[in-house]
Amino acid sequence: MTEEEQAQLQDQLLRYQKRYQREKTARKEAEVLLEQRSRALYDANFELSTVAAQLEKIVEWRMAQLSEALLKAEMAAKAKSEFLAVMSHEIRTPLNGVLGMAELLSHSTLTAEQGEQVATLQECGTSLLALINDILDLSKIDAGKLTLEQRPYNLYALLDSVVNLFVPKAMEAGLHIEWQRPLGNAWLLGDATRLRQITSNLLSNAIKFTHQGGITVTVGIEPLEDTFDMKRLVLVIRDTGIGMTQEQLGKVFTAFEQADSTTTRRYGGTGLGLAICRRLAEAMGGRIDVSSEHGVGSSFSVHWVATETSAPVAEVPVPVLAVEPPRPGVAPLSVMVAEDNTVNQKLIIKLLDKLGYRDVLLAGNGRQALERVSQGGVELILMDMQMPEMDGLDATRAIRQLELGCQPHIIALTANAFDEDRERCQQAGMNDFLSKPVSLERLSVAMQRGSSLLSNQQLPSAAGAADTQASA
Amino acid sequence: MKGVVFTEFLEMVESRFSADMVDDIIEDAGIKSGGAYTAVGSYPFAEMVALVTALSQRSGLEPQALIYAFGHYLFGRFALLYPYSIQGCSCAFMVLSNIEKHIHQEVQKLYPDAQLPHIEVLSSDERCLSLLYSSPRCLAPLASGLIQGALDHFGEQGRIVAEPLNDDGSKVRFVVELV
Repeated sequence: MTEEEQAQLQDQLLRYQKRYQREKTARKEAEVLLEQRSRALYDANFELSTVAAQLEKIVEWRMAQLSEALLKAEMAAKAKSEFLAVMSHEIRTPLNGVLGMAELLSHSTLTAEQGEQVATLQECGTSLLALINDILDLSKIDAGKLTLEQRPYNLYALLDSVVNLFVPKAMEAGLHIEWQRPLGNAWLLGDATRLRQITSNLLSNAIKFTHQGGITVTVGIEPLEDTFDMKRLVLVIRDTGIGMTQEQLGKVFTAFEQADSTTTRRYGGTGLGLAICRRLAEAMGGRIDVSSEHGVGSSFSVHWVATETSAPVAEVPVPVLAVEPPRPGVAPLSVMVAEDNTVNQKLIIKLLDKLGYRDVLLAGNGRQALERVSQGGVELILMDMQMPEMDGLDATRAIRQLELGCQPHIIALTANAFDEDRERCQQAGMNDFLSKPVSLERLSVAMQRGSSLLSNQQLPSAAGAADTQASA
Repeated sequence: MKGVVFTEFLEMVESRFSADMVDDIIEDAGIKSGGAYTAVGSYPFAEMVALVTALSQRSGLEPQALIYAFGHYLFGRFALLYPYSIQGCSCAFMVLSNIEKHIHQEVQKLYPDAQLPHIEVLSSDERCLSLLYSSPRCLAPLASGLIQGALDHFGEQGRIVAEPLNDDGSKVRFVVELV
């Protein structure tokens, strides 16, 4: 090997050594960098999982807060509805007294002026009662406590009866009601009571705000596309009344708002009716639209969807109990009034007296009633729901447990207005329900119903009582 | 500057010239890293300048021409190394229009600290694409090489006109016209 060759080889070796060194350094550096990256990744992951855990905790905490808030809201809502129920009772009890006494007064001998004063008294009391009912209704709907029935009803027949109810009022105001009734029947599933309430309210408003001309009622029914038996319905009540401006239209469905604050002075009312109607329509899955022109008239249309159904088959005809005039001295029943309030005691006894029921037994609470009933001979009880010591429901349940020759007919008598109360009464074993204030007419109907049911039963004690009365 | 640019540059030198040339320019450049680059590292931009200068002196080629050639080489390498970056692109214009929102996004995933040039599409139609290149590194010839690399990748013929918009060449308008 020449010296030159040796030098070249030496140079080549040096280059290889340097390249080897370079690659090694680069590899080590890459490893260091990778380690750094790995560590950074680990840190980032750790941080992420910490954040996730923290978030989880925050979510948990928020959920706890939310459920606590929900619980509080539910409790508040419950307290509110309980308060309403109590208030309803508290307001209705004295109002019951006022209205009952006013009614009794109206049946007594009065001068023309006194008669007018009593009539005003009754009118004011009745509208106060209507207001309380409206407020209760509204708060019940707002509390989501409104449950709608799904029962067959004939829409056209329902509208027939509502329109007929308002015809005299319209005539009195010099207005005509045109009800464009389609032929035949329209059997639908739904809550007839609530629909009647909406229609009555709209008709009553139409009459109230119309001074000349009249009211037209139309109903449209058409199949809902892509369904088998669903119908799209629209009920329109159009009047030629004072109408509303655009601004007034905007707040006509808001509770306690009337088109115009002077309306209350001129037309009366609370401004709750339409708010209730709207909520009822919404509960039915529908809506109410309004269009109006100031000075020309208004048109309210109720839109909803309902299932068409066939006419219910042969319902057992309920005998219509005519309101017979009081027949003094022919009451064949042994009647008991269980009522703690002395004014109400006095009132009921006077009303019963008017209907010819004398020698009425009195119980100041449920326990007294139970004691007296267990001795036998009581055929009909007017039972207040809320009484000290033992309430009407407990007393009724206890009475139903008694082994009597004949169970008495029990009519619940209560200032509570809620439908649930009616149900509770029924479940406790009561036969009938009268909400206060009790009018002479409604009491008469309930008493006759009770009396005819008792005589239909042909119960020995009832028959015995009738015999005694007859022979007396 | 990202290490991957250095490693790719040295590989180009090795394949176009020789392994000895790599040793020589590293020696000539007298750089701090000693040329021990790793793709995942970061190195001073000045080292790249020194390497290109050394290569220019050794080869007798203009630095601009070398940078252009490197850009051309780099596109082919990128297409090979990161095929997903140009996935779904059927022509050079598609790749070039997507640099900013697609390719650079991919680069950021691998190298969050990478300082990338700004490539803005000024106008584009079927035949002509106008791009605005802005970078403080003033490597417009590299961009030019990359554009040519893209055209060649898709087997397209085109004319590239670079129009500097300022003195230092940090802002250059490229007009690519298909022929």
